[in-house]
Amino acid sequence: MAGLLGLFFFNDGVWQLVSFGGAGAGLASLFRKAVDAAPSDSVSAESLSALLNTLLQRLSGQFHSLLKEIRSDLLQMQSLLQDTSEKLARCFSMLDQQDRVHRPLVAGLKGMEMKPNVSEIMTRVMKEGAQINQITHDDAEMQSSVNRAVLLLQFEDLAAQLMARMIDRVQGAETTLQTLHRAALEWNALFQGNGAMLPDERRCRIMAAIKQIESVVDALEKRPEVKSVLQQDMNPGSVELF
Amino acid sequence: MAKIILAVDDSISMRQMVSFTLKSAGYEVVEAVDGEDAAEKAKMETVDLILTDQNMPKMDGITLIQRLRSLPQYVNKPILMLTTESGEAIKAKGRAAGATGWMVKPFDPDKLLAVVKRLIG
Repeated sequence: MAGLLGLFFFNDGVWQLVSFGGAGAGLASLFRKAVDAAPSDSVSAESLSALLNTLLQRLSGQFHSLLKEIRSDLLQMQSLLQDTSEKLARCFSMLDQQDRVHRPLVAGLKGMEMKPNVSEIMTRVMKEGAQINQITHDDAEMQSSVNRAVLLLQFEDLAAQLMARMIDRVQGAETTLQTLHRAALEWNALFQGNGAMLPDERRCRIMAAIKQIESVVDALEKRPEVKSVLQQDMNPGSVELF
Repeated sequence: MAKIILAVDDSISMRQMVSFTLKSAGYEVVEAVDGEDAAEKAKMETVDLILTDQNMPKMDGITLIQRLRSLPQYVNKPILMLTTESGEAIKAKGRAAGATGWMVKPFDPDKLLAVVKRLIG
C-alpha cells in the first residue's frame, strides 16, 4: 500500500496529499471512494466531505504551527550559539593577550627564585615595577574575563533545553504521522478485497478511521505551550529577592 | 568554618559553573542532580543555603522548596531559584512555595556572589 505520509494542500477547492516519497495515494481519490462507499441514508457525501475538509484544515494548521515552533527554536538556538561563540572568542583572546604579557615576567621571577639574591631581586623588582603594576591591573581584567566565560559557558544548559524541546516536537510530529499512516492503511483496506463487506460495517470503519485522525488533530491542538527558555542572547538574567 | 551551599541542577555544566563560582569565594558546595537527590542530601547534612533549578527530572525546584520548607531545619534557610524561567506566574508560584529569591539564567558570577553574601555572609 502506498503510504499516506505526506503534506496536505488545498487545491481547486479540494484537499490533496503530496507524499514525501512521491508514492502516496491521492487523498482526493480516497475521499471519492469514501463518498461512494458511504450509504446515503446515514452519512451523506456532503457531511463526510465537510467533516474531512474541517479535519484536514485543522491538521494542516497544526502541522504548520508545529513546524513554525521548531523553526523558531532553531533560530533562537542559532542566535544563542552565535552570541556565545563571539563573546567566548573575545574572552579567550583577552586571556591569551594577558598571558603573553605575563609569561616573560613570570619566567623572570622564576629565574630569581633559582638565585635567591636579595639585592638582585630588589633591582629586578624595581626595574619591572611597571610590569607588576600591569599585572595587578590585568588580574582584575583576567577575573572579569573568567567571569564572562562562566556566564557564557551556561549556554550549554540553555541549548540543551531547547534541543530537548525540539526533540519532543519532532517526536510528536513523527507519532502523528505514524498514526495517520495507520489510519491510511485502514482506510485503504476498506477499498481493497472487501467486496463482501456489508454497508453498515464499511460505514463504521470509515467513521472509525476519521475518528482516529480526529484524535490525532485533537492531541496536536491540546499540546501544552512550552516557554521555559525565552533567552535570545547570553546577557545575564535578572535577580530578584522576595 | 565555610558555609555550605547545596547546588541543585540536572545540567552538569551548570553545576560546574555554580560550584566554580562559589568555591572560588570560599564556600563549600554540595551538588545534587535533581530535586529528589537534593531532598536526600539536605536531610543528611544541614546546609546554609540552597540554590535550585526549576525544571529537573524526578522532582522540580518548586516541589523541592515545598518539601524542604516542611522540615524544621529548613523553615528559615534561604532558598534561591536559578532557572531559565522568568514568567511572573511561575515566580509567584515559587514565592508562594517559600523561595527567598529568583535568579534567571545565565547568571553573572559577581551578582550570584553578591546575593549569596547578602543572605548568608
